[in-house]
Amino acid sequence: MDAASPSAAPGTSPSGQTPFRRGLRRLRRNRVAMASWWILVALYAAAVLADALAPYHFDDDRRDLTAHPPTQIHLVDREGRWHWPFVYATRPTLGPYHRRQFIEDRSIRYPLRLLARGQRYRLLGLVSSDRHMIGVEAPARLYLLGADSRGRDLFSRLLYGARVSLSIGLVGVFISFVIGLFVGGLAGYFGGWVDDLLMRVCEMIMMIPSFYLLLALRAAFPPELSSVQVYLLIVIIMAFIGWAGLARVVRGLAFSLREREFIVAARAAGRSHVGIIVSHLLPNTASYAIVAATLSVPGYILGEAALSLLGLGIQDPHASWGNLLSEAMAIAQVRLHPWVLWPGAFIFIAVMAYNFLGDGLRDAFDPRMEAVRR
Amino acid sequence: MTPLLEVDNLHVVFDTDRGAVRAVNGVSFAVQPGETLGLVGESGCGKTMTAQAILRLIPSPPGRIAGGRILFDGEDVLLARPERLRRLRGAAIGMIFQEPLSALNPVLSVGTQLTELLTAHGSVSRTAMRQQALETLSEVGLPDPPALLRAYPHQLSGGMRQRVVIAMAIALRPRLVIADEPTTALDVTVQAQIITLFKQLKARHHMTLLLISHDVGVMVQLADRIAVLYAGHVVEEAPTATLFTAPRHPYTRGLLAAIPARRAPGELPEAIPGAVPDAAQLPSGCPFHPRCPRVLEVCRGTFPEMTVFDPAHRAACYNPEPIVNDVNDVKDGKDG
Repeated sequence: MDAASPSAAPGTSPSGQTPFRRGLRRLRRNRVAMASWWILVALYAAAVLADALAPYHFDDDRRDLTAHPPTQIHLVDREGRWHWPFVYATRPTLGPYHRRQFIEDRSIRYPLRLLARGQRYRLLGLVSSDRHMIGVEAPARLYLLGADSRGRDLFSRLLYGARVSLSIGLVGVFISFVIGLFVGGLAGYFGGWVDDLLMRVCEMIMMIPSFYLLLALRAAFPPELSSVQVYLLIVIIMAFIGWAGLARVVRGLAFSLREREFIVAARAAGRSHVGIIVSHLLPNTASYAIVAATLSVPGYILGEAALSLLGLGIQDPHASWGNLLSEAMAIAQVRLHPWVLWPGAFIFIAVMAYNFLGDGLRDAFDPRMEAVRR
Repeated sequence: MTPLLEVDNLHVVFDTDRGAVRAVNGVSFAVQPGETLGLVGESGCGKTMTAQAILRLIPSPPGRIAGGRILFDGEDVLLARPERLRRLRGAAIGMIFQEPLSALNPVLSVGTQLTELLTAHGSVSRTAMRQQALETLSEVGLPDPPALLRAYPHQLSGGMRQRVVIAMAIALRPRLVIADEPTTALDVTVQAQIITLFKQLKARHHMTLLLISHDVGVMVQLADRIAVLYAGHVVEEAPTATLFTAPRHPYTRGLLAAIPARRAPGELPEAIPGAVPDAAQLPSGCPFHPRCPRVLEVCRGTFPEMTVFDPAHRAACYNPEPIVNDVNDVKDGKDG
């Protein structure tokens, strides 16, 4: 780099790059981590753009088409002619053993429309539009992944549900990391009784099995809360549980950092304690913190899913991956309507992607992995 | 003239499992404005602890300042309230550390660390701050300051890092600079450059410097006066030339005899027998007596009072060395 001009001794800087850039380059070479990254980008984009991507609003039900299987998309009509992909309208009938079946009305074709007209929405709260990425004209219905027990499109509900399930992890991790970094930094920097006190508090929180604590805390609040309130409640509860583990590790890092000369130098330069913690101590724990944050997002996604699955989280008609999966709690449902398992697949994909990305980040950025690489 | 810094009977104790470790035992010295005082001694003799005590940087617990006074411009630093202490640090007293790489934060750029220091002591506008940072960097002889502001410590060579550390110490124009082994971690050619830089800074700013080193060669070139420390005591204090020509304490003499450059070609330097005593179990009386070639019975009893040989030359010894006239020593001692 040009900064290391004339008198730079050889060997001081192998690549002439910041550690961050070197880490980023290592990360780019990790295919699994990069694939996970793009999967997550796609999932988050889908959640943000759910209004435009989903064919239907999350609460758009059809009481006659309950538990409709995924709609068949045809290319060839009755006469054997080829067309742009189309669907037929369906109506329920009773089949053998009084099982409900859906019969296609083959007289009229309903072509798949790109940018189809549908319910009006405001994208990102700004742009008003009634165009949906894909759709069919009524009375036909496009159930890409089947319908739920009220005839609502599962695919649309999954996209809307991603907003809750994916954001809860980010918001929760953010809150718990602000607390965890600060508490850990304080304990490690000051040591002594401050350290003792804060660490005993952490241990008390970590001692309690977290899921039961989650249930108990949720039970302490009235059951009839709006979905927004429940969302905030879940985030706060999970962040409250989640900061302790991080605080302990950061405290350990801070403990070794505070003996380093640059911390003493910062004190000698008249920096305040809080200034030193925020601008010298914590940035040096950043590589660990980013990795730990990524690896702890799945916990929040699973926690929300578990609460909502048990009916303590996000309430119908609002969707989250957890409460969508609650339809799959009865084994008979799964046998008759296997598509109700789709939310589980999405949870699985998101959790695995976070884990692989977190592993990749650790390999690329954690300085303690340096020895392993060489 | 009133001294800028006066350390009076300073005691620093570390409370450990093995008992109280007395790192500094009644050190006294004074630094006049514009003067460079060298603190010299072997490793573990209390040099660094004395320096850190001046800014109250002793890690506590386990360390504590057990007694004494530290007067900076007449104000007792040991009684300063936290806010006042923060003002003294950096703004009034700058400190340069031994290991330039570890004294810089590895994850922050040079510019961030420098400007942060400036903001910590009074709010300055961004442009003024940048200007001041650039000026300070070029003042310590660093090439291409604008590019340097964006550089990270690991991208710089050892000498450049030490210049950055010095820049940070002098950025706020402190009235006193404490340099703790500023050249020890550098190779010899870079050492010479840094010594030259200190000379320039001293000449330009009338800088008052408390220089700490075990390297007598560095002392000869920079210090006006030298205080020799042994086991937490000042054993001898004299102007640099006097100390080299006429050392009165046997330990000082031993220290000078151990400098290779002061010996005739082919002659080996003379080592002082034995080792620095364990600060947890100091010998009674004069702590040097077990290693001293001129030991008397009285040395085992109590620590000797300072004997004043002439107003600027003092030594704590019951049986001081006789004066020898060897004027050549000063010149030869330069590269020790």
